[in-house]
Amino acid sequence: MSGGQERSIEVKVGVLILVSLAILVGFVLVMSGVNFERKYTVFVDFENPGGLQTGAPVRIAGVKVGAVEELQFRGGEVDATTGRRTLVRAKLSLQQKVQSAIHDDADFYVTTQGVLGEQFLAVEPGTPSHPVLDPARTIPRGIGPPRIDLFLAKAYELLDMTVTGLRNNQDLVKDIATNTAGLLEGLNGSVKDNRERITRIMQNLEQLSLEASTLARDARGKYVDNPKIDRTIDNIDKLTGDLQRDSGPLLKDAKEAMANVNRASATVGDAEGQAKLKKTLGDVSELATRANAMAGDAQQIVSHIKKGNGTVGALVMDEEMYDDLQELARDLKHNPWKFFWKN
Amino acid sequence: MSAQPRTPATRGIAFDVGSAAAEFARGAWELYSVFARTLYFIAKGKREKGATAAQMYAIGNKSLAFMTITMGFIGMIMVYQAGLQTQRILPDFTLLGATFLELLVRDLAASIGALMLATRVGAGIAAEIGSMVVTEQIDALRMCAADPIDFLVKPRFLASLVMTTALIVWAGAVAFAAGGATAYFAFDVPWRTFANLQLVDAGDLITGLTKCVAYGGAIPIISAYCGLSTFGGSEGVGWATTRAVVSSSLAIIALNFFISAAALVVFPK
Repeated sequence: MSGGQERSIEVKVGVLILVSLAILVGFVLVMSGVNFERKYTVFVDFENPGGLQTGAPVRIAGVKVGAVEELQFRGGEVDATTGRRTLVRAKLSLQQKVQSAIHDDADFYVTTQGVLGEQFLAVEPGTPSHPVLDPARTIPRGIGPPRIDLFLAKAYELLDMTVTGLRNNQDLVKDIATNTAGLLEGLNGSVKDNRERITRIMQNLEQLSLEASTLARDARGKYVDNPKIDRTIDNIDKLTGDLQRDSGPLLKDAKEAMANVNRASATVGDAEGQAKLKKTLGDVSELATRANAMAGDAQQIVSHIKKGNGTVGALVMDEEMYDDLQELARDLKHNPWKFFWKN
Repeated sequence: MSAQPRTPATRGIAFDVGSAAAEFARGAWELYSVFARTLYFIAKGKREKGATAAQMYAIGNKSLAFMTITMGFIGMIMVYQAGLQTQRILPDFTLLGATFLELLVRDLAASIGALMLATRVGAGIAAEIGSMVVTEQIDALRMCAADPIDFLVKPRFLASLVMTTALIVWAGAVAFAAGGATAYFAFDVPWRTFANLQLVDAGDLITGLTKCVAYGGAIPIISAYCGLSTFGGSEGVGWATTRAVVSSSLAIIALNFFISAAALVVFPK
């Protein structure tokens, strides 16, 4: 093997090894999630984090923002920071850039990717009106995954109780089954015997429902879709609007009137005032009587005049006299000298 | 190294069982002897310039196309079959890539890749050494004070250790890429969803690399032992080649079982 050929072989072998090494190193770097972003730590307490493992991803809205760095078993000791008993505390390493998005009412819950996927920690970031979560002062309480095992245990217990109950009360169950069967049989016979009546009842019901439908449609046309109703409602609306608008001033006037009445009642409230008022009312009554008599006299005079009695009556009611006077006035107008000279 | 002549005796079950056990023990001892002497010569043997590089080229570069094609097809087939089952049962392809990658890294890339290499490299080593045995070249080497283990097995062992690992890493990447393409075209799984590393951890990677090294060591040792124990003529060489492939494959499967069991203890899931 010549030197050049040997070198060529070594180069080819070296290239293959380097390519494989690059794949391996790249894979390790991606797998270990190497990135140079700044991180911060958040602690979350759990009663039971289920199958959550160290290294499990932490996601906000499905986007990976960190990982579970450590799961510490606290054994239910009372924690000095939170003042509550803590069984498991998870240490999360999150990207610094998401810190401002996680508020102090954020929820940390363990969930599963896909149907049979690995468990991860999901973060609901909380409401923006709340302050940003300060990991140095607040250790939130996480929500564990749904306890399928607990559910199955309870369901098993329930099933066991049911089976035991049925087994211990077989006679009772038998009686119930027999009675139910008898009841159903009787019901079936009754239905068979009254088939025609049932059919009739059903037909009546159908007719009734049809009529009810028609009635409802007519009522709607008359009372709901009627334009009069709309107009009436508009008027009521307008009236109530006016009332609302005018009620202020009206109320003010009414208040003033009431104040006046109060003042008047206060004025006539004592015995002296009441006596004065009584006397005034008596005077007014007398005055009214006299006015009434005067009106009667005036009426009598007018009726005399109407009848043509007396000078004024003749003057007013006698047409001939009126014509004579008119002629006299016209003559005097044309011959004014007659005032001073009689021919 | 040749097969021991069987002494005539009264045949029976006890004789057959005892004879098989003795033969197995003798084979195991000789295999261990080859392995131990190889390790000894790595530490103390002569360094022949370019021998290991030439073997690396023969084992690694010349197997590259073969490994690329076979592992590419295996990746496609496995993802397609797994996808069909997933489609029938779940049907959620979110973790198809992640699960495939976990299996590939922990087991399949190393085991299937090593089985492929055993057919090509193991057969080559056994045939080459077997031919030298039947043509008495090995005896000539011994007469020249050159130990065949030092001269023939050691460079192949070293080359196989490195190149099996390198080829399996490459083949694993090819299988994953081919699987990703299959998932995209057959089940509309986007590459970003498929290339999910979340199920692979350091334990999986260490287990996979351990298997690479173990298979890389086992194939040349077993194949060299089969070659060195060749007897007869060209028919013997044929048998040696067949034995090398079968024994290497069996060794790979047995090693896979033991390494997986050990990994389960060391890296519990």
